[in-house]
Amino acid sequence: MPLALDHLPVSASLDADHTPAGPLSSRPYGLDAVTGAKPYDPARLAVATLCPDTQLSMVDGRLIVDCPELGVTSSNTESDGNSAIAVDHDESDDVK
Amino acid sequence: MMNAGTRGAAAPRVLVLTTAMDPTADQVLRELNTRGVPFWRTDLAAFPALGGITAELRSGGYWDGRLEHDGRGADLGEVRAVWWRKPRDFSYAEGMTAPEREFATSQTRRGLGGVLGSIPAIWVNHPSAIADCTKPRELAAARAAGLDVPETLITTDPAAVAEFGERVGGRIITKVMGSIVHKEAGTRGQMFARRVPRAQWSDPRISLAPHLFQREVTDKRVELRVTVVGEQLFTAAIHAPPGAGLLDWRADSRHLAYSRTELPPHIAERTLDMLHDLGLIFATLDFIVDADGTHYLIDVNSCGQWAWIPQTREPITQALADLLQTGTPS
Repeated sequence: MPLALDHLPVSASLDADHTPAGPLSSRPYGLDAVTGAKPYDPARLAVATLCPDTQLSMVDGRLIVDCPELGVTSSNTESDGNSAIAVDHDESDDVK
Repeated sequence: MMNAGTRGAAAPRVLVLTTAMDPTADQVLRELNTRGVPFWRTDLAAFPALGGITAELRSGGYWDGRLEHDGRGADLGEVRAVWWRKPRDFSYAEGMTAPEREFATSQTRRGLGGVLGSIPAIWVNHPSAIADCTKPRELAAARAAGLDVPETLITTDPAAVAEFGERVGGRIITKVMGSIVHKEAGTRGQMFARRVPRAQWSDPRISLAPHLFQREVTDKRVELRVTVVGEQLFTAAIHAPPGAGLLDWRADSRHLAYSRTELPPHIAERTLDMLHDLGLIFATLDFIVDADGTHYLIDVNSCGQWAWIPQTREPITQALADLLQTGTPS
């Protein structure tokens, strides 16, 4: 059964969620695995644009792919779920 | 260099759907630029708020029309390959009420999404196949293809966890079935694979949602990241130092080492069979190899990352560029 209509496989919203954790009795067991939680402020994320000529990602007017200090991560959100170059444009390795 | 997909240039043959921040896609798009392959990169988040689509049904049974945004666009009939990388969700004009937005969402997903999904091009990958590639589906496909998968249980019944844990030897882990990122209370954290001690096997909170439990492969020799592009496989061994990375390498990603390796031919063949079953032409897969050499399929990522591993970055870049340029898996 195709799921795409109800579950479009897109990357997550940039928005932060400020909802506090609920009581333990109604908190799914799997969330006990959350680790490395850090303050998250989308307003502090770098804003990317596209180079009008090459259509490659740019931050502050520089092509990311040409910047060793930026491009070494080579992904927007790494497989470890951590943001790369202070940008968090998708959920993780899995778009699910 | 002026890209062929820019304004006024050749009609794009490749449609790339991803965010403006996607250095992994940039690796391939830079190569397409070098080759002079006309492509158009856009994000679903531009539609319908900022961009639009017009398509008309033709007698041949296909939709003919154009997708446009910000002075660029693609004629649907010219597109030979679509790369569904990391697009964000559709966006809508400000001011809509919740019911109006619900209507617009339904119309957009079925109208714009449906026309896009009908493009008779090669899809890397088709969104339906991506959405269907759930953890239960992929593990079942792996088993059906003859791949080894650690014993796995999905349940809302804590009593079933205890029975399962005893049966598989007492060492079990739990893993999330979706994103490993969790945002809450203004923070952002990750959920890696986690051991489930015996004392937690009967935790009543297991009943609050389906949870996945799996036998821990305790005699792990190495982990593999396999990227499949068409019929080609690119395999990297991931070497984690002692610590958290031994259970889940993602938990210690700053201290990993990599090396090129190959899958045994029969594992490679079964992997391709599995991906064919899943309708995926591209995927990144995770294997655990135990001390006996058994290759356990752990995960299938239909939009997985790959460019962070230096040893396989360039050949994967070339293979994806080939696939998008020719519209044919090699």
